[in-house]
Amino acid sequence: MERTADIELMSWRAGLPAQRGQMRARVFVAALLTCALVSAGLASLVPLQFSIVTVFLFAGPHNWFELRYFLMRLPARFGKSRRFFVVAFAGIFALTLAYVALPALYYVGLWDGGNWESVTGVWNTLLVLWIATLITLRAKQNTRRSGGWVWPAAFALCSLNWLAPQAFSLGLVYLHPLVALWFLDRHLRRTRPEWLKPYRRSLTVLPVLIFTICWLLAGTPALADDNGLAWRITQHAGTGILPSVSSHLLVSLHVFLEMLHYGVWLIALPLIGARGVPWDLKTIPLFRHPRGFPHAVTAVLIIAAGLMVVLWFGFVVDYSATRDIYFAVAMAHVLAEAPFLLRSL
Amino acid sequence: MTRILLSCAAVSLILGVTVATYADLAPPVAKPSPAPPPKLLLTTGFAVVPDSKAYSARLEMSQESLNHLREALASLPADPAANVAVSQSLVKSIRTSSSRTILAGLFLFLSLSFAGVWLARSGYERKQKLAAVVLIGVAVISAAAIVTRGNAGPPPAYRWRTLSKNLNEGKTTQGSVDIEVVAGGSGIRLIMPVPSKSGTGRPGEEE
Repeated sequence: MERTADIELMSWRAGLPAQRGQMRARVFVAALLTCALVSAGLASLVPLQFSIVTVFLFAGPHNWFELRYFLMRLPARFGKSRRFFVVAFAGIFALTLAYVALPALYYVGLWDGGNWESVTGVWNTLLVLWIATLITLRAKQNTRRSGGWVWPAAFALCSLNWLAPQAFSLGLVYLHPLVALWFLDRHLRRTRPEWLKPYRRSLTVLPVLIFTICWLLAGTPALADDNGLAWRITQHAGTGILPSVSSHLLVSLHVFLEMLHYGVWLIALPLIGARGVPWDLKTIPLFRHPRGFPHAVTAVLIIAAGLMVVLWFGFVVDYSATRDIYFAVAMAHVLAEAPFLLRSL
Repeated sequence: MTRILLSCAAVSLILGVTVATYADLAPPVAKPSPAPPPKLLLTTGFAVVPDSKAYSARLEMSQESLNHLREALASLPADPAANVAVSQSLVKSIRTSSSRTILAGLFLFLSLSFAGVWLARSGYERKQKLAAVVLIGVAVISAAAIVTRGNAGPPPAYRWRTLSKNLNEGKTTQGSVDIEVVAGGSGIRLIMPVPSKSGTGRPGEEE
């Protein structure tokens, strides 16, 4: 009788961690859905104000966390991945430089911007070809994966790009926030595989939310973009490229997706992968490895934190100009996501 | 003498008949030259805002739109007749062989070629077959997009379908507008797409 009781108690105890895991997964999904619903609501009701506040609060910090995550994923020695990382860093540097240089040349009067659409098309083509090269290099390292589909797909994308370069760029603006969800997916698969299924199920809510935003706001009047800042926000959301679509809808949708992006980088990934506080650099292989670069890692993160403070100061002094500069320079973090996502696949 | 009189009478008759016949000939009518097609300058956002406090009708334009319009106007030649002729060939050339369309076609060709080579070299595995079908599907859709120049989606008139109702209710209506230069007429005309009362309007213009 006593032995029977022990057996029952043991099986009950064994089931506890699984139950706790399920409970935590449910809490995680509930938090995710709540954040998404609140973001969608605020983005629909007060899109301009929400955009101003979220960029002010989260633009700098999310870049810092993203940088820290990338440093954590960077191997101490490149080894066989040397060529991959050389192409990745060269692409990030060259494409960011070109992206920042174009508006700079325009504003200083060295370029009249007459063939802006063709230049955008060239930049988009280089971006697609760079990513295709990275995928090919990655496929060569992994014998299980075939990279044969990459170039046909890349050329098909280039073809679409040349039909409407501006629309292609706008597509990147809207798709980029969703890449963060892909990072979270890969991170969960590595660290908490039991959460993966509930997480993927919860993602089905996203198309519903996006459709609801589109449906509710399609007929709304345009946002009053009579001041420079509001005009910048509506233009960034694509009002100039899609003049037939309500600017209220475009800004709301863009802010909602941006909030998902910020949420993943600032809340979900640090909390799930937390092995200590963010400033504990021992979790970074490049820092703790005997042949690593602890001083360089520390310096990079301190400089990044300093830039974050400078960004906040800039927002306080001249929000519009700082926002413009930020979104031009922030292209670097958008590009950096590509190689690190490929490394995690 | 009789001969001379008869000759004079005959000449007079011939001349008289000729003049009478000539008068009956229809004068050469100059063929009216067909009205030159308007030149599309710019497509931009446009909002019709009813304002009960407005003293006069106003046309407001953002600085950005004005800059775009200036750039478009700068490309126009001074002679309107030449302008129409040039614009006709320009539009035609853009539609048929613009550099962008050529590049799009070139990349589409490369995409199909690489997909074909990949499919031929692969062992016809199930996944690869599926991926190839997807790629070829995308290529076909891209080709269709090139042919139709991306005319998918609701027509521009769709946004204006509620204009009358919104004007009555004092609400703003927003959509896109094509700014065109026409050869004849004077002043500025605003042509709005409205659904026909018989309900036989073009698709997309009906409520």
